[in-house]
Amino acid sequence: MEEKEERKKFYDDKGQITARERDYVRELYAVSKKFLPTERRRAIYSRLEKQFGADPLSLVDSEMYKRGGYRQSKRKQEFVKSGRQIAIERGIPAYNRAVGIPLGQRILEPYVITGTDITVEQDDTHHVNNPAIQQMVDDIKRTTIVNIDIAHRMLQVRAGKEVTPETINLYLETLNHTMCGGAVAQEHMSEINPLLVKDAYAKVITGSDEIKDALDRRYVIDIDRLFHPTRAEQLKKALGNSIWVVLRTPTIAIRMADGDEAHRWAAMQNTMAFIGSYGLSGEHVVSDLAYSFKHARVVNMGNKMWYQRMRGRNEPGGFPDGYICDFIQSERDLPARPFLEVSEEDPEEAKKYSRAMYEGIGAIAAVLDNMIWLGFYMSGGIGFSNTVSAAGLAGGVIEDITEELIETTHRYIRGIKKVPPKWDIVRFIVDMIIQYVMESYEKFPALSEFHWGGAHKVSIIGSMGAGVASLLTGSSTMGMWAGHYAIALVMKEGWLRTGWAGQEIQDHIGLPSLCSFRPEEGNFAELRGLNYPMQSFSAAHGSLRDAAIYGAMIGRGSAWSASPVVKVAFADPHLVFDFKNPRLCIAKACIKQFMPAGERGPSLPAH
Amino acid sequence: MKVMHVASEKREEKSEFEPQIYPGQDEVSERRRKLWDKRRRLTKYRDVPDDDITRLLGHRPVGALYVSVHPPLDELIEPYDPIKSLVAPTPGARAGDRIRFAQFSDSFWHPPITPYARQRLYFNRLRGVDVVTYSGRTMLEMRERDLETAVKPLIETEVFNPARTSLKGITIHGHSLRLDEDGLMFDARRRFVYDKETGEVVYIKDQFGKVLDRPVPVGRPPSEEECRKLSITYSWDTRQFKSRTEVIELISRVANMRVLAGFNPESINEEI
Repeated sequence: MEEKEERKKFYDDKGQITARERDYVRELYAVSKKFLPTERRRAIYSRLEKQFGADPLSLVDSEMYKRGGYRQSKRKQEFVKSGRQIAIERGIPAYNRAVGIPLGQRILEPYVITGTDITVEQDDTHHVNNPAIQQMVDDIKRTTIVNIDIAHRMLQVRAGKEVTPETINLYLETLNHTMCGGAVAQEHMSEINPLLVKDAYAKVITGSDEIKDALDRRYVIDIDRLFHPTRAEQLKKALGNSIWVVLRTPTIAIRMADGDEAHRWAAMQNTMAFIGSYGLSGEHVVSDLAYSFKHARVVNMGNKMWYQRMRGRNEPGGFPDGYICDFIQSERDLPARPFLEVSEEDPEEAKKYSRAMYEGIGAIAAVLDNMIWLGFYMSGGIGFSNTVSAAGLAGGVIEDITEELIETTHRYIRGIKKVPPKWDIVRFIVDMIIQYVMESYEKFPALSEFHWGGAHKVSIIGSMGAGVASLLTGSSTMGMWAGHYAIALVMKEGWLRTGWAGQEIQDHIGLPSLCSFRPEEGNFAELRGLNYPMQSFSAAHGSLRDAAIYGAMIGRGSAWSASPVVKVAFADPHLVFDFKNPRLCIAKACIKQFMPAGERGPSLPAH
Repeated sequence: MKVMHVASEKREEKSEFEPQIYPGQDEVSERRRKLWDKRRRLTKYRDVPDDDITRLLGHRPVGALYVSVHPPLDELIEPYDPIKSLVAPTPGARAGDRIRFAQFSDSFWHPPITPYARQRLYFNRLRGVDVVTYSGRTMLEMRERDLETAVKPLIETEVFNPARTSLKGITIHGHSLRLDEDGLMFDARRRFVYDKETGEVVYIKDQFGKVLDRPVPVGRPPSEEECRKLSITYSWDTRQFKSRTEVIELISRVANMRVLAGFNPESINEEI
């Protein structure tokens, strides 16, 4: 008894721990409490403190129900005023806070967009309010990539035309005219006001320095200038001497029709440019050129979907996950080295990789999956899944946890370039990191309030599990395995709850079909997509799949996930949305500093 | 016929198979085993009159007849079906009651039961149920009179924490939020309040948020210490998940076996 008292006093005074198993198991809570001051030093603590204006470790919100309802939000006050004005003008009620549940009984906390100092309101990140999010989707939808080697061969062999750098440059100049709706082959055509389609253009990708040097630089997406030399080397080797043309259909066109319009527009204008620049007529080679541009050597950003979804190509549900990871450009300035090698050498450098990874996963993959596909295309846009995306977009939660992992790997792993993709090895790391995430939610009630639904937590926990395993092993399959395990088993058995309506169903089903690469059973992770049958029905899993794929790319030190052509196409600085700094773009749009394309201003009455 | 076996005196006949219910030797595992084992009685904490249960559910006025959607089964001439001879209908089904629901929301903070714990409890202890499990709430659908019988022990026993468990038929948001100044879970419809005089939680609205004729007290909230004792979730400040070796070993094996079974079942060479 006396000894117990002494030990208690010793713990209380010194805060030291004796390394006996009994202490770890039975007195773990007492020991953990001693680490609370350390928790206060975490970046997540200060962010949440700023966001909630209270101690994030406190379980009680004494101001609950007393915050003045929706009036605590400037944005909602504006909405109420606008709703009233619209109702008066049109004679039908519009947005009206007098109906429905009173909002703002709890804190309507502001968001600090990760990686920026920009504080925004939750409503600002709704995809209908945020033109940057819309432009991100539009820029993907309006992209078509066509290989013109086959067209050149046809011109030379069948039409007997000469193809030289000069003719290619003339073709590209003509193409940039036709892409904007300009006529070339016939008189008396209707044309388009260029101001309406100023975002339409075409540029070239090639892996050959010789070809690049021969072409007019204005039309080239220069891999050497845009990528780190180690990445440029990999990309150029993969592209070889081929010439790929990236065609950007105007935003207004895909907004009037849909993403499937992009490749038709591209094929038509491309054919017209060939006709105009090579002096072709209605001869047989033209139909073969059109076939080549529409079908034979064309890369669409998305596949057609199955009957019930009824969407054409280049629509979000058809984007393969591997392509989504190639849209992301956040890593392109970093040397192409295996992540673990970097992490062992220099943790600060490794943090750049993890920040790049979650910049893309949080602002592109999570937004495309939760907000655009599931929250808008599939469910009609109720505003819930926007807050799920925000878990990856704001607050720096994933970054905080990943950086903790990097510190750990730097401290304990030496001389290993890649962790073998074996379950018995990976599971310890996944268990450790997911339990750390779960404990963060338990320790920081403000964090649990910020990620207030199970879907938010599923999104974070799944992408953490997937990201960690794939970063360390370089295997997207192992990443998916870990992500599914993290949700369906670790989170579920720890808390006995997951997400919205059994959100771990796809993780339970995902495990058995994981390693089968037959498309109808499992498929390669890179070739799955948002509309992958068993994962298309509830939010929060796109970020998991893309964390697995993108993490594996970073883990291997590769320069692309599924397609080098797509990777280079989205490095193009002429794109309206910046795929390298997506969070900044979205944050700018929140504060009305982002100008999208596709506006009808030049054809509207003065307003 | 008892719908819920919480008060059953009789133990079922012992069969060769003894269900393990849940792995682990710690208190949380033991709580899980207790809740999900229909042979074990749940501890009763409070009394709530039957009429108050009916009021809280808000499906029918107290004393009103049950609405039926078909004639009593005894009066129906149905085509022969062997299953109907094997499965005895519940009282609600026999009477032809409509199907109604009760929806409980469970706080994230040391809850006595959680959505998946509820689901497993419902499936193990109740008959004639349809359950939907969300992150913060669980919907229980049953024939109306069976539902009233089932809900009573769910409010009167250890699985109900008046401050952190709530009956929320609609507008569920709040399970993961911090608690209010009285230690109650957030409720956007303010269905329940803390009565400072009696120290009890009192429902002033039914589960749909309609004001009750008279308030329904549901007992005092347990102390923080008791909440931790009754908590069914592993947590950093009670029983830490990371030190639960047996559970972790089991779920890891489940993951491994699921992958192997889907990928290459022949490669499973393990004596179970």
